Amino acid sequence: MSDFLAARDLVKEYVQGDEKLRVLRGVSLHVREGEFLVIVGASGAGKSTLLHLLGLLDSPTSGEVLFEGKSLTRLSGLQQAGLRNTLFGFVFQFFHLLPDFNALENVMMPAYVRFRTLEWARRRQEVRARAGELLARVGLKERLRHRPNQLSGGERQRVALCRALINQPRVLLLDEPTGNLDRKTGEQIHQLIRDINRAERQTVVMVTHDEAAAQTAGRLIRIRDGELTA
Amino acid sequence: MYKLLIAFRYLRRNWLNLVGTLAVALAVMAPICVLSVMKGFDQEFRSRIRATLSDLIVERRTDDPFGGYEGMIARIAKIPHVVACAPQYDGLGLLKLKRQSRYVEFHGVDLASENQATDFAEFWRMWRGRQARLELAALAAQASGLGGEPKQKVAGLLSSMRHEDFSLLDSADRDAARSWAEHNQVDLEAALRAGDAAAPDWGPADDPKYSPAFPGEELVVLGKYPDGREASLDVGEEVTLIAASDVFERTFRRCRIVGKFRSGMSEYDLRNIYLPLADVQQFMEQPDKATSINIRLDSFDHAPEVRAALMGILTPEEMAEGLDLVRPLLRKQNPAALNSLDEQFRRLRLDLPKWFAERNPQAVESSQDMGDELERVIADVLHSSANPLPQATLGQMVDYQKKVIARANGAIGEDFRVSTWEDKRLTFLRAVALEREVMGFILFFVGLIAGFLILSLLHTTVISKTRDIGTLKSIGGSVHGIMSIFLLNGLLMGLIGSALGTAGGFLITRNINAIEGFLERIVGFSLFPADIYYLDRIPVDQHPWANILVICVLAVAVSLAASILPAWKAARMDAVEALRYE
Repeated sequence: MSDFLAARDLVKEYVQGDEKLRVLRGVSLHVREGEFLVIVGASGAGKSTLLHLLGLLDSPTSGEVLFEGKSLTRLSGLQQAGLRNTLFGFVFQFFHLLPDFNALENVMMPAYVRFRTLEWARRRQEVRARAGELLARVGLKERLRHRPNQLSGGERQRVALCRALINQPRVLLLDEPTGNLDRKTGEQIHQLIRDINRAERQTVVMVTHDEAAAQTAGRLIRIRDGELTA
Repeated sequence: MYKLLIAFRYLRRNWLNLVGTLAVALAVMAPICVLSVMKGFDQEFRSRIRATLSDLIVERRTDDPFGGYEGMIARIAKIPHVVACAPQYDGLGLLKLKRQSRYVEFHGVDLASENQATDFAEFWRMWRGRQARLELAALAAQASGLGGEPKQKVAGLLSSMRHEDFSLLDSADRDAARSWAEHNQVDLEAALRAGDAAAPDWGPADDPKYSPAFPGEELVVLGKYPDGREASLDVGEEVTLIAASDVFERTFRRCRIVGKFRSGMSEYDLRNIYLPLADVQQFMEQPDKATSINIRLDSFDHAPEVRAALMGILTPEEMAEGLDLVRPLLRKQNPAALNSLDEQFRRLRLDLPKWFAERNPQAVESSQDMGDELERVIADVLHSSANPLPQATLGQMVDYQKKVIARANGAIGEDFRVSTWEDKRLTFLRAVALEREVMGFILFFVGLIAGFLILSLLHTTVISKTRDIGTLKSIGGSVHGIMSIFLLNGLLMGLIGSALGTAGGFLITRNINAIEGFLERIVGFSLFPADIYYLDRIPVDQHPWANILVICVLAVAVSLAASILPAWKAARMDAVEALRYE
């Protein structure tokens, strides 16, 4: 049961002046391979922090993140960076595309980061083809050469989704992916994520405060004041 | 490799980076221009303060005149690397021109040998060329051009000019002279060659009452007209020289100006006058005597060797050679003696250049001591019966000993002093060297300023790229990777800026005179007035490769160093914090 991604007693505290701010108060959860897990909570409930900890973007005050039984929390910075590259794919509320690069380049970037010079030279064509396919699949075939500021919000998020998928990550981590989009576009993005989850058995962990969106998930976990509720 | 791609993209797409690159380019360009012009000035200045000094100068230690110089010259001429020698008789006096009088140094020279041993002929040509240039320009400025002028006058002017003088003419004047020459069937090239080759002469010795004389062109200036033209005594006019002699007699000599010279060094052209050696010997009542012998070498680099030969001492290289010869043997037999020899030599090598520069007799004495010491050690070796040295080594030692003895015997004598021209102008040269060092120091600060500019620009870049840094971390960029991006960013600025700066500096130094002319036309006054700088054009060192290399390496190093702090800051940035940034 705990063979895939798991969190054990995750605590995250921030120190603000004399005050200790406890964002997560001992969160444990299991993510099953291939499932679509949604973590719902109001803003400030600690759901983004949980996602960051799961994805090794941040380190917990105590507790640990495990993958296939091994602790990821104690790995070195370099090893964690490597896992962020290959094991996880992130999508953020504010898209976070590199403004100096076009859509295609943005999608290819994680692969570029992944491979050393020689291997990159060998794989470049393959990566480029895959990036093109991904972008075509989300309907951006005609916008490969556009820079982020020439794309609409929905289009940007679709580019970000492709970027998260380029290295074929084991887990896709989504942080309010539709939070910055209108309802209709948000629906489309959700549909896309569901398709990806179903078609490829892609494990997806999404945090959102949007109850309506949460209903479409495979499994639902609620978080409140830094603790999971049923 | 994504680091390089991103660094390049930032450089191209971020105007802050472009500004930084430009700053590096300027910081590289400015020193290149300044140093090139300074080196050009330096070379020009060296030749000017050298004036008519020969490579080596032999004088009495007491500075008084000596006889038998012809025999000495014959001996000196046999020393390797000596090209020419000339005797000279120098004295101090007053020169009376009309109602004014000037303090002067007069030089009695034998023109034929003087032209071989010093650059006097060159300075004489410089004056003629300048006169010719001024007159030709005046002719060309007349509405009628050169067509109306009598053919002989213009032809005479052209044959007074050297190629260099002709190239200094305005292009319009050059064209006018060319078309005039073509029209009048004068061979311009041949005329200029004649100018290149012309040598000064005293003219016909028609009147024994007068000595022919070459004063410096500023020496005979009487004053200035309100319009700035100089009123000066001309060729053919008379001056009177009152020479000071050591018995407080005054010796009057009437002189006729047969030509002038121009060294370009105001100080020199205002104080010096050249007369025939025989005349000076006669009126100073010192027949067959001279005060110095000027020696020209095939290259100034050989000055130390030739000086050593003249003084009967060993050069430091030769001392080292002798030391190496006795070293293996002494190490076994008498290490203490070897140590003391080594120590003596080490001190000498440090002190000799200074002693020679200051014309300190100790230079000669200490060198002689060292030579004697070496010779004594070698003699001991050669005379001791029980030595197991191979024949070849013994032969080398015998040769060396012969050389030392021959050297000592070949000396021109204890009471003579041999100086290089640099020794004679030590204060000037030191001042120039100091100036260059200070300038280098100032330019270093320019580089530092560019460095701080890059630092603040890159820091701003890092702040503006905070989101990118968060993003890159989320897709797997490591601390090392992020740091590399911004280090590469700084490095690229340094490299590209250096390349641009070098190209720009090169263009400017190559065309500095054209640029000066252009600016002059715009602002309406001369930025580089010839009469202040005493130069016809801005001198530039055309091949400042070593300087460029040093400047570029420094610029790249400073850029890289300046990017360390911002890069470090970027690398340490908290990913979550950076991503929250909207």
